[in-house]
Amino acid sequence: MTGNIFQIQRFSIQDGPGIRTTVFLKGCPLRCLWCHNPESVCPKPHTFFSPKQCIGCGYCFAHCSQHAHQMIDGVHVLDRSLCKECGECVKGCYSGALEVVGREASVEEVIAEVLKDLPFYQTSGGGMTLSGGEPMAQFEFTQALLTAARKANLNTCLETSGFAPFDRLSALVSLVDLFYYDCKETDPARHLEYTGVPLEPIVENLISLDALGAITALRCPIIPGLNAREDHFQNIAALANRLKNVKEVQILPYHPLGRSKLERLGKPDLNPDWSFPEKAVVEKWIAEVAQFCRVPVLQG
Amino acid sequence: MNINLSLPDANLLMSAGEPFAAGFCERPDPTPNERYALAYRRWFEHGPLPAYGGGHLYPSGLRSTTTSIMAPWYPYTFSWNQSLLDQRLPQMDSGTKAAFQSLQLLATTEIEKLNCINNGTTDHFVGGGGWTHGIVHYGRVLAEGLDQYETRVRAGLARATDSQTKGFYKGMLDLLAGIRMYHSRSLELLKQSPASNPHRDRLIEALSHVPFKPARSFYEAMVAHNFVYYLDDCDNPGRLDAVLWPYYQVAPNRDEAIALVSEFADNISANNGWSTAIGGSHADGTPAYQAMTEIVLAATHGRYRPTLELRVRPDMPDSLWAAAFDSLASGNGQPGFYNEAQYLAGLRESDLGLTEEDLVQWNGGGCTETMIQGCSNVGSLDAGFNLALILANTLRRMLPNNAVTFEEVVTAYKADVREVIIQVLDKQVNPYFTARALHRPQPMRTLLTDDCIDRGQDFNAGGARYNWSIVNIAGLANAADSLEALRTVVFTQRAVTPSQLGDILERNFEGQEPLRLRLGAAPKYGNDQPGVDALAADIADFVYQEIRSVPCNRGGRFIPSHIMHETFGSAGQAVGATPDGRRAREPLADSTGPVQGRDISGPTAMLRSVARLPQRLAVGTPVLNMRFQKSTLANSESRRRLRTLIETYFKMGGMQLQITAVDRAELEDALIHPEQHENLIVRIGGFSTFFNRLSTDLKHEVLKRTEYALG
Repeated sequence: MTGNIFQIQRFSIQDGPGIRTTVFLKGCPLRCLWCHNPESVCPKPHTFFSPKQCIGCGYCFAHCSQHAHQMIDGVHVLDRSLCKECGECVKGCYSGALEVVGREASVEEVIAEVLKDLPFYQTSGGGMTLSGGEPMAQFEFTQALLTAARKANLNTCLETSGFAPFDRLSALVSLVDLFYYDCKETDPARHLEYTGVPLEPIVENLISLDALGAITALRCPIIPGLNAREDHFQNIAALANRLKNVKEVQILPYHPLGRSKLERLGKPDLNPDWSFPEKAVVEKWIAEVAQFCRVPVLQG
Repeated sequence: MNINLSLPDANLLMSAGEPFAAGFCERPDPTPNERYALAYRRWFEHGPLPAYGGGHLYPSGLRSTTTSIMAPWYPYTFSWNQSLLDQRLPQMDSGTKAAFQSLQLLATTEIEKLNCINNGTTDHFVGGGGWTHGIVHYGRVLAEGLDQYETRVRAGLARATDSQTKGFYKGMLDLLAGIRMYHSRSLELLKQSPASNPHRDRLIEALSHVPFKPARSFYEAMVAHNFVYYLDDCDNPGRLDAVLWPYYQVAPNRDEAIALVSEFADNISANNGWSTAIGGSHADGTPAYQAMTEIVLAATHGRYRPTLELRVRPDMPDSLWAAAFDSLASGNGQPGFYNEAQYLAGLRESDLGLTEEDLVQWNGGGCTETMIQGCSNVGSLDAGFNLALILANTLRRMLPNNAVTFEEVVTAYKADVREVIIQVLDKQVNPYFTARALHRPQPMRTLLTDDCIDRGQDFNAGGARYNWSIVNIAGLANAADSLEALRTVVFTQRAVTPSQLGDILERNFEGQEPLRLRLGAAPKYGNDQPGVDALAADIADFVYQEIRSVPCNRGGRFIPSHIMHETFGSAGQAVGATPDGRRAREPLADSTGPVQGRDISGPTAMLRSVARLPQRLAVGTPVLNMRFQKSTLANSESRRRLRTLIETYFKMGGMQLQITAVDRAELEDALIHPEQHENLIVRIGGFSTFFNRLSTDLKHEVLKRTEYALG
């Protein structure tokens, strides 16, 4: 079986216990306004273009059958309306200006890469984390990867928005040691507005997973001006308090690293003033959640 | 030329304040042993004494050998300061001037006797030059006292039958007489220092006893150790924890021990002194971690030197891991981590005739050249091989032929490497050892290194119990990456012909940036990619075996190492553009590590790549440097990860790991405002050094090295 991935990151240390390898799967049904990984949204591989890295060697101009690469007023432009994503231009680009994000990979291939660091997992309690995108959007592939990791006795983590049919999530409970479960917004109308999908099934899935004994950590991206609100902080705590098997709540402060990618995808930058929040501000958010919450609240 | 005819007047040299030179010229026709021993004697009798700093130990601060035209110097027996002579000559009267001019002739003749180390090629300037570090037998002086040494010397003299051997022992007696005088002059200096000093009287009392009588307390042991360290011209302090432990355990006083070892570490730092191995094993295989191990770590906190080498076994206590990480967090790059099991195995497999008792006394001397404290003469970095330079020369010859195959290039390269190894080791280094044995005795090392006295043989003439030679290897990663890029881009993808690439390299990639980037995009060592890693391991294995197979006339064998300290910058100067995408004159890779900035797959991948090298054959020490963000040491989870990285690397066969905890921002700021970062220490190659002491180029290279986060 194969799936679409866009990165395998070894020595991943923010996504679970010990030393881990994180597999990033492509494709996501959500459209979060602050998306940190906009290149993961589309399910298929596609071409990324960073004009600043172009050294003007001319390979892509000569090899593009669609003439999508153009020189306009001395500037190298990729006309995406002409681009057929054939990847020919990328083959000869060694400057890093053009690259294909995403590739098809088999379960065996991915697991072989993950197992390279087996000795490091064994002494650190680490293993494999699946992230994305939304891994549940490639359910069979995700399930197969987790099954293979289980077979190899790896610790497993799954990052998910929770926006998936419940029977699929529940099928993974025995394969996942820790669910990193998103809690992006707790107001239903705002959730729909910010992410493009309704809140209710996500919360219902979480409660039901908890009832099945799934261990979770809630991951809460906090975006100044959107969800850095007192009522949201209280709701996060209240949600965590309803769960029997939640381990911790992680506050993920907004970071602007995805914005340049957003621009290149032709999406509007909704708030160009957004930046890294101050350390003191983040600590205040954490404190606000923590005062109502019975499990640890940490910066993620 | 008959030197005796022009022997300078010793009295004139003495009255001009050059006692070493005076002793050197005192006798008309001595053997080299007698000549140098007398020079040492006169130095100790009349040479300058360091000032007393008011602490618990004396001597203290900068040693006094740096202010004379001719003085004892541990690497080459003596130092010759030509610029100081040039400065003083105009002020001398004609008689004195004539004496110094013939002294200069004499010294030059002495220096030229060892010049064979520079015969033939000098391009491989990556260490080399025959510099000798050593570790004298501190523990024996502490336990026996120098009086006992004198007894052994006199017994040797009584046994001696030939004049050569008699001269040897008489020389040793001269040296001991000099040390006695140096010792009483030191006591006199202390007695004349202000009595108000709180530590003075205790120090005088201790120094009235040691180092001639056995140490009776921890304090006396420290005083003796420090004193002998200065006698030996401030090289390596050796295994401090093991040497001091017997004295510490009698009446443990942690605070006192930390204060004394700290003061000693200040003295070591002041003299740019070297290495201390701590922990490890006893001869019966049990672990040698004790309270002193932790005390040495705590006492050297934040200090520039000594270089600490922590000998790690799987049973090393958690408390020592914590102490080691606390030490690293102090920002001095200490300790380096050494895989005890691999070192013991690597040394055993080298057929050096080591007993188990001596084996466990291993300690890196200098940067980190593997030696046995108290009883070995290993040279250190007697020669170096620049693998990138050899490859550049091979390619210049092979690439113009478009019919050449990749296998032919590799075969030709190996043949060239073998030829250079034989040329350098057999035509330069071996004759150098012979010349050293004949012409350049080393009296202090001879007195204090086993078994020179019992054998009646000088340190440089085979008197030490163990003799081997450590040689250095540079540019392994550049060679492997270059061959892989050649295989991928020229022989597989056929993007250019061999001769085209040859021309492009000659022109330093001029107008060929796309091709340079394409070569750079080929697989690189340090990313856990089996193809290029196998090439690196194959070259390493070949080079190690070749080096080890050349007979070493000092005894033992030639032992490879990768210790690039500051030389990875200058080693690149001699090398033209290479097929890994490196431009001409750019620095080479550091030690066993990947080319700077080429390891892009994280630390686990990098460690797996380096662990593929047959490191045990390079037991001279295969250095690996890693940089982590300072936050790495801030919390227990990231410390746990760091420990996992080290332990797993060691399980995979890795031998040595040196870690710098830095803030990139601090390094960048130190480039612009060096004056605000006087204390910034970075670990490079084989040891720690102040960032400000590096050249600008090297500072940029340090910045380029991949920095990892651990949480």
